[in-house]
Amino acid sequence: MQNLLDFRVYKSFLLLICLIYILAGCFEIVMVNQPASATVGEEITITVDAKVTGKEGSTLIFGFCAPRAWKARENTRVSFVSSIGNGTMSLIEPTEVDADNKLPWAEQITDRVGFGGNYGEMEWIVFKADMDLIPPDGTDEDNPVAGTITVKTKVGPSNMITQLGYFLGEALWGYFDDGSNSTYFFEQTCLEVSGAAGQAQDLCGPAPRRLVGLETYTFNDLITITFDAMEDNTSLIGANSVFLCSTAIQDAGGIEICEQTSRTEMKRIGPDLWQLTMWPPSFYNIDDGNSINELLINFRDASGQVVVKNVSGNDFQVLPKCF
Amino acid sequence: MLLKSFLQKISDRSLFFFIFLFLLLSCEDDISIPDGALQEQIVDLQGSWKVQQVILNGQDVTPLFDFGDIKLTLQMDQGPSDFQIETGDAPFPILTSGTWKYDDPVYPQSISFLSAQNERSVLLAEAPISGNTTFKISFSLGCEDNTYTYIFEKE
Repeated sequence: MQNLLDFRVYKSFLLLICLIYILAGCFEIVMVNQPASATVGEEITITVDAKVTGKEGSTLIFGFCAPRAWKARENTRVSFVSSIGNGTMSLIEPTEVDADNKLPWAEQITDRVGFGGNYGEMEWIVFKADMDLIPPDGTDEDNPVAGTITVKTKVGPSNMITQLGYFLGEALWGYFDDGSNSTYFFEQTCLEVSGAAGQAQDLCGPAPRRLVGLETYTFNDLITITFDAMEDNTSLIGANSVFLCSTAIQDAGGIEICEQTSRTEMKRIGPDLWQLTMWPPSFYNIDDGNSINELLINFRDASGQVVVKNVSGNDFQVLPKCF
Repeated sequence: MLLKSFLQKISDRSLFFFIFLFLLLSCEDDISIPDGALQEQIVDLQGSWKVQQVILNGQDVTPLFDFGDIKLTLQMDQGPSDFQIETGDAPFPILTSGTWKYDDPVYPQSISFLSAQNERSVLLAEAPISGNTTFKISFSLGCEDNTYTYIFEKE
């Protein structure tokens, strides 16, 4: 008798789970229209055409994956129009949890979706519809609710190449583990932001060598640059001395300090491991380190003839990282 | 004989009461507070100070950079007045001389430096004590995430 009761409870539970998955809203991103390029500081408009193919669920969740340097939380507005009504969306707190896993939306999307083709330096920001809209009876794949989400966001102040990402989900049921009631999309073509001095930070390219020890910094901070000659098997392996050759890029131009003197000589801190600590305002003789957009760096031996740049043959790029 | 008889009639409790009353009245006459004894003193950091140690986010960075050129001279005239700063190539929140003040002269938690160029407030990482030969300040220079603690010693 007890076994029969247990079986019935189990069966009911299974049916309920199946029902949830059948009823919960399903999404499809049909097309994303985003510009291929933008000027630093410009507000761009992106539209995401989508379909809702499930009847249940009423509160739209939209995620936007953008470079952290854009501070998209402060600079992005989202709204939508659809065949069953229009609405605005509001940013949800990073700690707001979804109904299914009870975990923060942004954290879950970051963990489960990632950053697409970007090597890092990105973040997901998540919006929720300000009002509920219930799809009509009969909504399914053959009779979807069509809509367009409009994103207005201000791109950051520095040159950058990045792949933007989009996520659609639903708040009533939450973010299912199998992802069956949500979808995401990364635009294949990376967006290029230009107009500032200096070369673009290519988030779509390979991850750059980490040169600065601090997790976050501006060029008003005390910066320690560490160069491992062994990494990528550089031509400075075995060098007796290594010098820093650098250019501070400002809007007005570059300040180059490329000399073999005690000012630029790096200190050996281990086998083929070199370090130099500088305070950029005094090192480059400027009033404010924040006027530096980026540093372009290479490493040289005492003769200046052996030069190490990144694997692409360009100077190493060091960008401020404070967000 | 009469005195002995009188004393025997007094209970122990009464005796203690009189002794207590006597002591209380005696003390009342002797308690006196010197003028100014309760007046709170302004923390005295007057003098010339050199950087002994620099901590960045909990890590000692003194060996990585030459902070030896930093010299801070604090002047006081019944309270904080002028300051002079020399930094060489080393970082410091304010790079030109001016005036300084505490947020609270007796129990200061921060110091403000004011020069013609700008004003910067730095936290006192430990409550400073008049006459001590060291004091600590904490501040940010660039990214707010990074905390610098400078430990000064008196020259």
